[in-house]
Amino acid sequence: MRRRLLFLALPLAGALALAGVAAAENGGISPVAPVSPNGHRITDAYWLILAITGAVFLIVESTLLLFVIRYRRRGRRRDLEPEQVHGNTRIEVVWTVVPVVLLAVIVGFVFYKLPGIKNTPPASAAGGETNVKVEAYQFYWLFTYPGGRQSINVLTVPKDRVVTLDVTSADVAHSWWVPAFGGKIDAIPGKTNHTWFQAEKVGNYPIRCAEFCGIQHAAMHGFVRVTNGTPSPSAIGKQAFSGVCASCHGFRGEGLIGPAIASSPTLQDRKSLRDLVKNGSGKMPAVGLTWNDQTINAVARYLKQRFGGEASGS
Amino acid sequence: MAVDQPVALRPPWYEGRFARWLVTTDHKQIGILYISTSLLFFVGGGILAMLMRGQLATPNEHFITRDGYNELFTLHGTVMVFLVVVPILAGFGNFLVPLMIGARDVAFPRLNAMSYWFFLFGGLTLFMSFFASGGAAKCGWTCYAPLSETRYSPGHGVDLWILSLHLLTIASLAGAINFIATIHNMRTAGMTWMRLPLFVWTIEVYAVMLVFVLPALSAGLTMLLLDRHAGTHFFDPNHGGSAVLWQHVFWFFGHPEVYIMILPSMGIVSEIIPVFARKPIFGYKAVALSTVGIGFFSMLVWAHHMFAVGLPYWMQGFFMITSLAVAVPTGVKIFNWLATTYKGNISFDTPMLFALGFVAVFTIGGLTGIFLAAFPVDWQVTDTYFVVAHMHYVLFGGAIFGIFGGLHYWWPKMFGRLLNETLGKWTFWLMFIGTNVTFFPQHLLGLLGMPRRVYTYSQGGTWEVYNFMSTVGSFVMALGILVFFVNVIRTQRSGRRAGNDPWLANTLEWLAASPPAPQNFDSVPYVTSARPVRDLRLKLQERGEL
Repeated sequence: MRRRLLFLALPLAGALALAGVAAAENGGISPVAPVSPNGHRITDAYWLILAITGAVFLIVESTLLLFVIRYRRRGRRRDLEPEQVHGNTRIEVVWTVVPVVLLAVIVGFVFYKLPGIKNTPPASAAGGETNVKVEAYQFYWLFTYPGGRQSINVLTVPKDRVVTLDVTSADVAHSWWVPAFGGKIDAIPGKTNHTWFQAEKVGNYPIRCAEFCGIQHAAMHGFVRVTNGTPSPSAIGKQAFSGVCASCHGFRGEGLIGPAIASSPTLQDRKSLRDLVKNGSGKMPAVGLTWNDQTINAVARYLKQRFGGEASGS
Repeated sequence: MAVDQPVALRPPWYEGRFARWLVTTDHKQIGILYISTSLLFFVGGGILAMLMRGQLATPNEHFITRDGYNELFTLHGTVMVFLVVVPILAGFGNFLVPLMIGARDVAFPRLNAMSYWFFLFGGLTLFMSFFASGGAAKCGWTCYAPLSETRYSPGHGVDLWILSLHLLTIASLAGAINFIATIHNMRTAGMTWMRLPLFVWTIEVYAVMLVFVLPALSAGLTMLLLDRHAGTHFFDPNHGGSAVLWQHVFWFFGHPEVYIMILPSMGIVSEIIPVFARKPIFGYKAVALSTVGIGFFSMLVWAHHMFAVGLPYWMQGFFMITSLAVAVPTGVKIFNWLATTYKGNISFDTPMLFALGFVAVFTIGGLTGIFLAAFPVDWQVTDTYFVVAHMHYVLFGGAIFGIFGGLHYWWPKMFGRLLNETLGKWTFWLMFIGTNVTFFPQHLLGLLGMPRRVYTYSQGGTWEVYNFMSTVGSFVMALGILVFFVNVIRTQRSGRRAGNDPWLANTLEWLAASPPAPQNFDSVPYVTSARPVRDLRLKLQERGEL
């Protein structure tokens, strides 16, 4: 008996610990608090499904527990056969039809919410509309704003602006995901997908690559910086270093998968640096294949400034 | 009178204690080979999982390298799907189908042996690929193109992955054809389709589904191999190929594969619950036909793995509705199992604990599937730990619980000795608690934003707590499995003898000796219901012979 109590106590303790943590910061009971209209509608659908499946869960598990306790053998002989019931058509029809109805409710609700999730709000909406091209690379995000300005891993947009994204990939499949903005859209080579968001609050929202894309998939992060006004000119060189170079050369340029870049002679020669990022070399991918001159110059300037000071590193 | 000196009879080499396993075409021996080999691979795949959980226990861990981690989850997934769940079910099918339908063997015994050996060498190829140049494949068990193309995955890891899967596909396909031929042609007198044991129904659907979907996988693998080595560009968009094509081909196989893994486990549960509740299955026809229904719908749902790919909305709507439709026959099964226990006389032997555990845990996996079928919600939760949690509830809490129930249930039939009950109960409770502690927090991690297939994470707080819990749970689970192996070894030495029918069961395999004679039966009675052994038992009791 004591042992049985222990078995009951263990999961109970686990559940309590879990509930405590969860209550502390809505620890994953529902998706990350949305800050974009499409995210809100997805979360609405999530709650409806949680309510329905939660009810079914409680009914099934409590019935199971009840039957198992109520109809356990206790002192009876093992081979004692209770009444041999083979089925009941009416009740089987009921538990086929009721789930169909519940699922139809879910389908109906999803289609009701769908237009507000997939369609961008009218351009006349407050804040106007901006289109940004998103290109995924191993292992960073390259953003091209209207007018050709680029940024890496940091997408800066004003609050309330409707931002439409044309998402594609230059190499393998990735997936664009800002948990706070709602769903994912895959970045697939040879295909351009579309999604949008309209950030309601100023802040930094993490971007996570959600499709496994290779050795540094786990480090393919970025964030959307939602500002109050127009985007400030970005420090593209710094972004490129921390978003592109540092994944393989280390955050202090000390070398990691690739060699150290601090004090590398390449830094002194803009042309060879340009060739290197444009074409790659050995294990290094052609990270800058599609960068424009403005971007490459900014990178070269930043790297030289930070790492190219002394001829011999320490 | 000269008496002839007795000549010592030496059996031929192929009847030796070891050699007879190499040349056997007996379905029971092949079944046991399948099961024991799969259990070894299960230990291998489990160790890979433990290493991953070790790496993820705390943030910014450096216990395993990036490449190493990516190899681990690729091999863990491939091993558990192709080398554990599918073949161990083939093992149960091999051992049980002829016995359950009153036949002497499968339709093509030599083909059956061939299937096993292809499976073994396919499995060894996969494990050996760790030693290939460039290491094992590191593209996930789905090996999405173009990541799996030579340009992004140099070395021979992916090539060996393809070779291994080709071998395993041949094994499964030959095995499936064998099951279909056996079930259609070799049922004993009186065993109509509506008297077929429910486990055999699930094996029938399992086999038909394999025949439908494995060729698609083989074609896809061949195309990938040609892309890698013959200069074709099936999946290379820079030369007119399509990266999405691979996903369609893979999931056309991959989703039915999930049901291929779960249906026979459901069949096992449908055999166990009536025996330990002392009642017939509630709604035999509904349970049998829901198997067919699940099999049919499961081939129409593959694109729900691809909702984030950017398919047209009407297509996503279609795949949402078909995916939700699968929930209906699945629900029918769960309700029928519950109704079977109603007013029963329930004994809690280990097989029954696992069967009831299956119902309890699989229900969670089934319900979380509804979130993934509703495509806008899927956009939010797909490719996160929510999916990892969902599929482990289905495949571990579901398929593996069913398999462990089956192992405890049929062990006495296979080896003549009953597994120890106390150790069996320890196995169950450790696995049950471990499963929930490991996988439940992963739902929450996914909703918090943790993508799957990441070798590390930097967030502390809730992320760290949930990840650490998950790691602790996986060790509890592993302990339960360790207890099972201790039980196996103890039982081989000193287990209680079983007799033909230790559980007072229903189906024909319990008529045979434990373990069954090479010819299975001396005679099989005419079958008049879905519970022939119970019929016989009652008849003998009536006559006072029992």
